[in-house]
Amino acid sequence: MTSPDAVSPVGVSLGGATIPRQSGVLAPTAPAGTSPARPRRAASRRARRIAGAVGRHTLLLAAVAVMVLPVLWALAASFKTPGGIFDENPLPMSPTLENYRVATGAFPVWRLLLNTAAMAAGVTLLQLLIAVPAAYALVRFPPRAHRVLTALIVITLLVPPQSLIIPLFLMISHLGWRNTYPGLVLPQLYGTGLAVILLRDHVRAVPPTVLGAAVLDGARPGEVLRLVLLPLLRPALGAVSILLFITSWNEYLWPSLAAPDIDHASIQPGLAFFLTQEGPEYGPLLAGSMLATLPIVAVYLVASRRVTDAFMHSGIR
Amino acid sequence: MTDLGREMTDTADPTTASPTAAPRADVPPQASRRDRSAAAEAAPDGITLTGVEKRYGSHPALDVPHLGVPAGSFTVVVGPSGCGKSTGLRIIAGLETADRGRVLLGGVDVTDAPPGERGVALVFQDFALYPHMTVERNIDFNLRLAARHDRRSGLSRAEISTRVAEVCAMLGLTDLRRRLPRQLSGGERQRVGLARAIVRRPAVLLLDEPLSSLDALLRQRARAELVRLHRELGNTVVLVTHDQLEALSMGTNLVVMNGGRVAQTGPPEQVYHRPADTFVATFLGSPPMNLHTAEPTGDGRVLTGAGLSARLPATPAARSGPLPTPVLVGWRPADGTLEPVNEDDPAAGSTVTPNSAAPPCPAGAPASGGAPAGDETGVVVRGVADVVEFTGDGTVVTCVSAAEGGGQWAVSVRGRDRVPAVGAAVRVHVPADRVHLFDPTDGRRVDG
Repeated sequence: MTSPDAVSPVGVSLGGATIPRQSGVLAPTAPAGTSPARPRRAASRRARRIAGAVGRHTLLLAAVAVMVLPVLWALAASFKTPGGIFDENPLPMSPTLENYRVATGAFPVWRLLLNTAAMAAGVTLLQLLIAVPAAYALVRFPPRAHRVLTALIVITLLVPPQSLIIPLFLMISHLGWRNTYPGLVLPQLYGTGLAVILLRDHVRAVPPTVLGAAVLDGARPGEVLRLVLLPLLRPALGAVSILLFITSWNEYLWPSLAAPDIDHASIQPGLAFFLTQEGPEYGPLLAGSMLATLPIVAVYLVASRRVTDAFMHSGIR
Repeated sequence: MTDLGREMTDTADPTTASPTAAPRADVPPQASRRDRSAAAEAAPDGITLTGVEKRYGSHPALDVPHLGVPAGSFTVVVGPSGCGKSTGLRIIAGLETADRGRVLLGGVDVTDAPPGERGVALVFQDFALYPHMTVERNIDFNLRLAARHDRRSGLSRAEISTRVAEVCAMLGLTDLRRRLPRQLSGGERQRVGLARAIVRRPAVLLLDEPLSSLDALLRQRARAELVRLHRELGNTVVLVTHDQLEALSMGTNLVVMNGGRVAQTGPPEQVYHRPADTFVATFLGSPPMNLHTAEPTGDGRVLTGAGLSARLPATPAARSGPLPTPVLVGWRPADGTLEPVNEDDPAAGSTVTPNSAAPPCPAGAPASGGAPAGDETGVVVRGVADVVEFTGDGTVVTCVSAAEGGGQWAVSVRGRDRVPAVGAAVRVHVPADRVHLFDPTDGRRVDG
């Protein structure tokens, strides 16, 4: 169980937090009471509270287990030998990197990862470039126009993306954009509405007087955006870009249609290459999956501090 | 500091005189000082609003046919919340545009000029500091922007830091220069907001309730500081407040607003002593002015009302025509003096309505016993002390009128003078020159 810990910080922190709590539960029960009546009632109340806490935490732990176990199982399995994949023992008894060697050797995994990173970064960047000015403009509209425009933007989010697949596919085919980055990236911008809605609330949280002060200080509209609004939105931009990046990274359907060619394919449909004529090669497939997950975990670890940064609301008044 | 003050008035004008930018670009830096003072002489006017109107939907927020703010004055705009005073300020600053009308600064029409080019600085109610910039960056933001927009007329980096140092020293911010706004106390933030506004030496400094978010002790000090600052800078300052005490104490010029309109303008003493209507009369001063309804009788010199009788001087100088009937009689609580209650006076009973038996407002009969004796002019009000509030400097006695329908009124007792006990009969005399008369139909002053 050492290797799962290294990859899944959730498991570590949760384990670390719950175990001391339970040990604390068991220890303090009989306080040396002077008068018998009151301590007993207090003790029973305390016991009830502890029982409640134990119950809640058991439930939470179960929920965490449901979510984390499959991932841990896949992780463990990716270190197993081909013969041991279906063992009942979840732990790889003779861990091997053979699957990773096969995955990286037989298929251009690094190429796929690079493609995916480029695609996700491109989608994220373009969405932010559109969403930040859009959110800023949206906030500036009078309330009624604001409501109408917000409703229109939300409607774009309600359109199932699958229904757009065929027209979009025809469009990029006519443009000759199949197996190109523009063809891969641009149609994914249909989801920009989500970024606009998320950023809108953060733009609204910036006091209008601060923006007014910048205008009075002689800042041109672009400078208000660049020198005042963007720095104030930085934590929000971090959070939103993580979300956008992960969403795009995990996109399966569109990349598999738009760029089936291995030179432009992204990692998620790329994993399908492991499903060969002779049947699925589970070891390398799982190894590839783990490699596909790794960058996301890395991004989150690096950037999550941005999300929790309480910078925004502390500087004003 | 005097040097800075002179600079201040001088610099004012290149910016205001040329709101559409650029023309200063061809002036070499060494010539600019002479150029500035010439411009200063050419444009002596402060702020002028003509025919300015602003509506929010169907709600008229501001309607000012004409308003002039003298150059170099400390003008306080006061009024209840929602009276349009902040809207007016934002229109002068350019943060909002009026639906109609013109805004002139220093004699130049800036109605269509962008806010940054009007030579106007604004201190916001919440100070609106940039949370991500240090105190120093907050203060020099506009100077750095100006330098970036126009490399030739903008200040060099050395000049900017000299100016910032000057302003920081002036406002006691020198040790806080590297702090972020969130690391400052309320008073310090207020001073940073002020420093940011005056560092550019604006011709017009606008203050939007800058003291309202400070606690009482700090507010007192900040008030004195602002007045001193204005004396040193000599520029036009407009302060918006809803606090009538601030309005009376700080300004050299007072603008009272109500319902989007200007109710009265003038020096604070004049507005206080000769309020133009009942709104101004009751809004300024604490406790507010007492108002009684009264009927002129006889030759119009004698007024009677519930629990009140008055004799006016022979020929009120500025009054035109007869008094309206009825008329509103006003007097400030501090202008009344307690008089000994005459035991024979039928109004002197300790019951609330001693006059209820007598017919109200006996025509021609100058108030049973309560009227000023003989030719003595002034107003006499009778009542029963109801609430007695000690205020330190004195005592405010709220009384219930001696007659039915006379309502409530208050009188201030100064210092350690004897204070009537609750329930005691009270008789107050107000000298004629301290009495205000208003028309009850429109609230306008009738005695000139």
